[in-house]
Amino acid sequence: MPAITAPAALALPRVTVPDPRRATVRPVRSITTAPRGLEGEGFPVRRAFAGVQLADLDPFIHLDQMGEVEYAPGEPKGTAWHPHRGFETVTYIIDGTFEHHDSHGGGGVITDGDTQWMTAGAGILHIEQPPEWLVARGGRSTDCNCG
Amino acid sequence: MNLPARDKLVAPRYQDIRATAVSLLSSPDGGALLRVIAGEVDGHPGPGVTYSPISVVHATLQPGAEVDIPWRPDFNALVYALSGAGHVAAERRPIHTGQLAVLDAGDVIRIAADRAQDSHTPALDVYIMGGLPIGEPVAWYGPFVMNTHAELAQAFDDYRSGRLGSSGQ
Repeated sequence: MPAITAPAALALPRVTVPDPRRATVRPVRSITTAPRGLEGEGFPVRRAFAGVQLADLDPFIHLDQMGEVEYAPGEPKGTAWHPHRGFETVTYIIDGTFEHHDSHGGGGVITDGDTQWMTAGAGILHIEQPPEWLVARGGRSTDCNCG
Repeated sequence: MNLPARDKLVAPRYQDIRATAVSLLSSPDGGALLRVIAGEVDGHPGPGVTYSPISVVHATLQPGAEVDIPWRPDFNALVYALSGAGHVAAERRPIHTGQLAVLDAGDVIRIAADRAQDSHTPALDVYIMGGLPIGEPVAWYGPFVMNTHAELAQAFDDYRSGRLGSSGQ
């Protein structure tokens, strides 16, 4: 996956090995399989949190994985303008490119390994679309939309 | 993520977090790469700024690799398999692409990648989320997540009358 990789993993700081006498490895409460669906203008998603109680997810409420999808020219899809209030959405692009614009004049382009973190708070309208060149050319796309 | 009641109506904010801004960590043998996007892992903070305490990590485990990730005991722990196959926890429960593991209480998240991965997804990629539960009532409809039905009705009313802003179209 094109999300950032490290050329020399051993040069990185290492995560501390927990003391097995003191640390408890978290057991599994549940494992669920995400059903597939379509979102926005029709891009394929896996609905990761479907069937899981909100109390188990709290403070998270929603997670969609988009793709991996290989779009032909003309196919890449996004969302129409839509509102949000009262929570935060996080879009993590693993592979691909998205443009976003919002009703407060903000916007930008996020690509491989980038994260767009939007606090909707009191309210915002936004739109997320693949850039024109990607629509024209087609291409691969994988990302995660978490709220 | 949800916002606690006190922060539901804060001013909207964007954070564009570039790929190069995440904190990178590795397992002791180098077989797992951890990208800390928000919160912190083992004292290493990620760039995302949050209203309620959470951690978000994208981990890539090479075939056969295993990692124990210290995780705040007061956080919940959710492990979603983006691609690949492996197992979680001491009881080695299998998990593969498109599956979510909700973990119970403890100090450590254990994840391992199967030795054999298919050629299309050569490693196990997981998205790990956890946070301090907010513990408030959730009134959720479509794009609005509030605490009460009355607040939801107000959100729809504000949207219809243009108080959430306009698209400029």
